[in-house]
Amino acid sequence: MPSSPDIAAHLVRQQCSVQWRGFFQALAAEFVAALPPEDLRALMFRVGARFAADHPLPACATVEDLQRSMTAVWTSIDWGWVDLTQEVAQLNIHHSLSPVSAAFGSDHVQWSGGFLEGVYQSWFDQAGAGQLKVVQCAPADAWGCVHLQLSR
Amino acid sequence: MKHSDDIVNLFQQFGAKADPYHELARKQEHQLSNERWPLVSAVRNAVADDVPSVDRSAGTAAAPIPQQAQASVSARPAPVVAVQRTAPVAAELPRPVAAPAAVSADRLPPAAALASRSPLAGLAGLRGQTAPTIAEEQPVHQESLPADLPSVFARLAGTPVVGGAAPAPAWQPRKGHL
Repeated sequence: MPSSPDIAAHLVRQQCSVQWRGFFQALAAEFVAALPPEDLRALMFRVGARFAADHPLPACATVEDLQRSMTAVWTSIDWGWVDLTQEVAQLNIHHSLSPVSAAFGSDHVQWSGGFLEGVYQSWFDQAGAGQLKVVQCAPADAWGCVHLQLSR
Repeated sequence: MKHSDDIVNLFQQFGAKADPYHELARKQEHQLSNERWPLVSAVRNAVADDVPSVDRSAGTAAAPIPQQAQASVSARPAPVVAVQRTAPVAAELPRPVAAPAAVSADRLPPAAALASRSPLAGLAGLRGQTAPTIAEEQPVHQESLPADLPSVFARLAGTPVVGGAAPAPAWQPRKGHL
């Protein structure tokens, strides 16, 4: 981690292309003006589910296989990577360096995280966990790191 | 009435044996007591055992152990087994039946005793010295959990896996998602 806040802010901005940054921030402003945060989160969830449908995972037998397949999708589009870790009552989903926050801005992390929730929910549905639910545990940090959980 | 051992001591002073000697006075007392109180007769055997042998030359090794002392020895509780902090070993051993269910705080070292009753013990770094609880004895390691997806999903959902790894159903978008 860079010690200087200016360097950190610069690197965070690099997570979203300058070509699209202004567009996404204008889009977010328009969304916020039109819809409450819970509706925006549901909208982002549906966008994420559509993304997962467009990027189906191959058949996976183990948690490691699933993690590898998910990370392969993310790294192919420079969206970071994911770590899956098991606990007794849940499966932790740690997504690192997602550019969603950088694209929409840190003011909108409360609803923009719905995208990853929708993606992972749909991928786990594909893998056979339809009775389980993906829930985001906390808003993404400045680096676009998100912690979600799969549980009942 | 106070009994005297003068006759026994006299025999021993002359190096003689007191085997043939019997305390007639005590036997007579017991007989009178039995006749006066029938309840005492019911415990005649116990009273008879109370009559001491006059042969004191046998030494202390052959001296009979009082009945009460025997009872206290047999009823002595099993010694408390020190609880080691080797959790896997402790988890494998069955819990002793006769021993106390838990080690009392006063048997623990001072710091451990403090940690066992103080909610702030974790902040002071004392929690590691307490006697391990059942939950602490069996930490859940990720390596010990099944890694195959049907088992993982069934465990998280709280449903048993039937017939091993079931194929994942064909995926369809949830209602309302798309």
